[in-house]
Amino acid sequence: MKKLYKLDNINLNYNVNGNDIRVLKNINFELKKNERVALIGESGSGKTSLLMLMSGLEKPSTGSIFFENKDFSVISEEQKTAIRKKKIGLVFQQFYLIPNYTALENVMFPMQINKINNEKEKANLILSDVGLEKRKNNLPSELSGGEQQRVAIARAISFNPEVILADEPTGNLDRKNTELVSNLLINYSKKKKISLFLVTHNINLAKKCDRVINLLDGEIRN
Amino acid sequence: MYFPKNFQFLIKELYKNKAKISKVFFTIFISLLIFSSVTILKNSIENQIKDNARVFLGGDIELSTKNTGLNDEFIDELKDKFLMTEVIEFTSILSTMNEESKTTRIKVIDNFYPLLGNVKVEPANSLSLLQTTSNSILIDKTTKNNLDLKIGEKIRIQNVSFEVIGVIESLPDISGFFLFGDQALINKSGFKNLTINNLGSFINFKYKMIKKENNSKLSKKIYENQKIKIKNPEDVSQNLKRTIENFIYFLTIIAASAILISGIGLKNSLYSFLTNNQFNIAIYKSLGLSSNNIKILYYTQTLVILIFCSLIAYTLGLLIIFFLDYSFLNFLNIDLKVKFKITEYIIIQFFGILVFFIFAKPVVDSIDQIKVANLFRNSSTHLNLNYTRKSFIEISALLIIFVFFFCISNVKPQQTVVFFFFFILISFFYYFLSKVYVLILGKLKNIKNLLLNMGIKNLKAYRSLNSTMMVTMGLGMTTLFFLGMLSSNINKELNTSIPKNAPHYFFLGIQEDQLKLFREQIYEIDSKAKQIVVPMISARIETINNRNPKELIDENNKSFWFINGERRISWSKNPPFNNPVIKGKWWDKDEINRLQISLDYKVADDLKLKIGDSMTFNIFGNSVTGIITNFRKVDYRDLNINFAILFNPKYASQIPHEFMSTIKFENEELVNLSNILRKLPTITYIKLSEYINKTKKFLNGIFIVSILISVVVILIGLIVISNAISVIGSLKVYQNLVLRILGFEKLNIYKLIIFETLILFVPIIISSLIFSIIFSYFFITNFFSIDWYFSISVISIISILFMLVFVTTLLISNRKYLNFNTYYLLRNG
Repeated sequence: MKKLYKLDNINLNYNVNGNDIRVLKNINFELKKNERVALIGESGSGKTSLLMLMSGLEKPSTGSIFFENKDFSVISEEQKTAIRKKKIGLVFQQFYLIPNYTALENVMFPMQINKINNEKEKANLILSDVGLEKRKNNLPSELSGGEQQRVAIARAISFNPEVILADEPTGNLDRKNTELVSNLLINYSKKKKISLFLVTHNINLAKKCDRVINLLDGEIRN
Repeated sequence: MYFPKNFQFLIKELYKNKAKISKVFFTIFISLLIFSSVTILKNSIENQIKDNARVFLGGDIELSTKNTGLNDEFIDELKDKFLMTEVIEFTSILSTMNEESKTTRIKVIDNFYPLLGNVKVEPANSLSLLQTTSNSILIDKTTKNNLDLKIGEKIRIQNVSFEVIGVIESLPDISGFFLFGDQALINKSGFKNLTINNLGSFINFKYKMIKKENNSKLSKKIYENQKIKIKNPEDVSQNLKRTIENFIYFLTIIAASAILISGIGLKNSLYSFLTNNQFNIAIYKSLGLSSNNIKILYYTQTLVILIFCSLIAYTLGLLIIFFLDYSFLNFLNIDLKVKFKITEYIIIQFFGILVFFIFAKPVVDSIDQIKVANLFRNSSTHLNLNYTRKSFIEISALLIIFVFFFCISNVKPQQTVVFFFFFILISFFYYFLSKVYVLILGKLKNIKNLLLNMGIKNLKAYRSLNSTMMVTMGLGMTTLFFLGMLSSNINKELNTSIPKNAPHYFFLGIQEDQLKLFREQIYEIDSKAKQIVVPMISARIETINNRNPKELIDENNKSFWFINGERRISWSKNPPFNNPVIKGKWWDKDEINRLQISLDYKVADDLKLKIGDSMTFNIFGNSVTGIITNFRKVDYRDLNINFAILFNPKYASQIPHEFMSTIKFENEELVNLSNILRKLPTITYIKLSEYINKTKKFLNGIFIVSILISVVVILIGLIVISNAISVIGSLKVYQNLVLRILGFEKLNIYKLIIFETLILFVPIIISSLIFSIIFSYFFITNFFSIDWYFSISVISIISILFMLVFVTTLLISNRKYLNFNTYYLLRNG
């Protein structure tokens, strides 16, 4: 399998009130194409920070992140935005749907900005795949948490990205919805051959992945 | 009541939110400052006029006659009941020994002048010196400077020499010199040496009197004598007030606009403040406080600030007027006495509180919508400014109270009501326009352009705020365009050069036997000078269609001047080149037995006169009746000879008359009038450029003060609009955040913001332009009585500047929400 991400000796420090806090320490790992990796760890261990680094939303204090051999530390913000637009699908614990867009419009949106044709038909198809055919014209505020997360997943996969980065995608869901969303993510990833890197506290979900990375106090412990 | 008891908590809250709350009150503070300044100015002028009306008149009563004075019998009778000073006023030419000359209004005073008030002169004893020294004169500062005169130097009136013994600083009885006050004082013995008997000297005999006893009354025959004009102190105060009330009215409505626009600003800022504080509010609620408790907290906080704001605004207003009195307001010719008045402050406070409740109530009421459940869902509520029936009635009642008190406490209450009516009407128009516009945009389907599509979606999603934005922008743009057009019109009037074909001089009081010499003298000065000489008489209109003309129209009619007092009348064989006949027929020039009349059509229109109507004139004590045969279009602004009334020549030439002449020289600057003034000492002239400068001085004063206030109002409008942008910007933080994360480029988000604004901008620009054209036309033609013109350059400059400021504000407001650091928000949800 080809290499998609390479994280090379990543360190992330925050300065809070004059005190340096080391959030991530010497992180090294690779994510291959069509590979599913789960990142587990306790709260405050640096999981979300690592995900933000991988999505190009934050810069490491030291070290380099390579995405398809492109070093995030040497490319501009706009180039990182362009990579995110075309190649990275993001799923959040808080869903982050566009509030004044319907479920269908939310799913169509990444395709529209990527100028993908027949976006409406494709979005309809994906929504029916995630079981929201009848809820497609509802606004996010009219959907339950599980439904919102399914829309978020549909949106993340709609434009066939290279990777889905998911931050505790089942963190806000009940058991039934957790199962549903977990299966959706894993199955889609496999079906569409999209890499998946997810942060989770859910051991069952983590076990469904090809590999599990354990993060403890900002360091990877295998 | 929980909160009033817990004052410490309230102060703590206030202190913590001080920066945000100051932002909320910034615009209302500025508008209260404008309102305070205008109120202080208005009250100071009115009080000054009211308190000094007797002094401005120069007594309890003033009788005046034109051309000839009262006979001795009359005067003796009056002196039995009144203390009297007799003042004769006439216009003449002051000439220096260096052959410089100037048209001046001269007052002839007796030993009793002034009965009231003080004459301020330099040196201090020069007034008493004038009353005892023959052929002495006191001149005003302008005359002293223009003619470069010093005390002790000689000047001539006609061919009589006078010694300048002092300089007038101010005279108490300013009623006749309110605006154009070049004047001089001489005594009666000096006057006896002059020959003042022609129409060009505009001679007036004034008898200023103070009652010897409380019940002293004028006899019936004085009231019945139509030659005598009677003035009371109230007439003077009314006249003075009328002269400046358009100016005050303009300032008042500007202040009202400012206060209402800032109310909208307050609404926006408060909305933003509450939206940002809704988690705090939800937490208070979760701890057991009711919505009412929280509302009381906010109302109390804001009232504390409002009282503070009003006090500072009022105090600053006093200082502003105090300083303006010594600079820009000296054109008013009144010394304003500015002092702190508790009633004035309470009025400011009252209006401030009313405006606060009118605009803040729906926002504070939205506290009800904030749910504790938000804390569980980690979500926020999109607060809607919904007007329930109850709140609509409450706000309407407050608005009516505001309008009512505002109108009754200001000049021109009726016009102020009209202003408010249109202001509220326009606000509603923009409100409904926003609704209809969003509805129409919503109907548009299959829009391929992504940005346009997103823009429309956003406009629909934030429709409640967009309505506020549209109302604010609409009112702001209308006010901006209106003020822009007003300023450009006044400015044009100020910069209007004297028309090319206008004469340089008007010569008055030329007698028939002087005419030949006059023509020769002008020819001697400049052989190429263009001369127009016309005959002139003075007459009073006794009746129109056998009715007293004052029964036809009142003092508010634009043509009241026509029937009030004596009119100068001329005649002509042919229609004057600048006065085309627009209705009726020009007369038979050989008609000798019948008086025919040609009238200015505007006057005829105001008096509702028709061709064939009759008018009776009193000419030298004789009643003469004629028939109106035609109306002419008279444009007084061309500054040529323009008479409202013309007679048919053969008939009129039988009446004793004199002549007036206009002269246009080849080169005005080379003209020396010393010979003609020496040879024809009784004639008077008016130099057109001097006269225009005097008018301009007054207009310029109005212009500067108006522009100063307008600039502040424009700034308020921009602040309010920028606040509205910020409110929408802050609400879109989340949306922009998601768009950025999904890979929507920053540039595209900027484009989207501009796109959305432009979609809103189009109907606003069109509507505000239409409104401002209508209102400025109405205002310019009715209140300033000048020709309205449309300045495309001013409108373009305002539009471009506004767009630039608007888009810059928009981008700056949103920039902070697009910064990379915003992504930390992600962590907190």
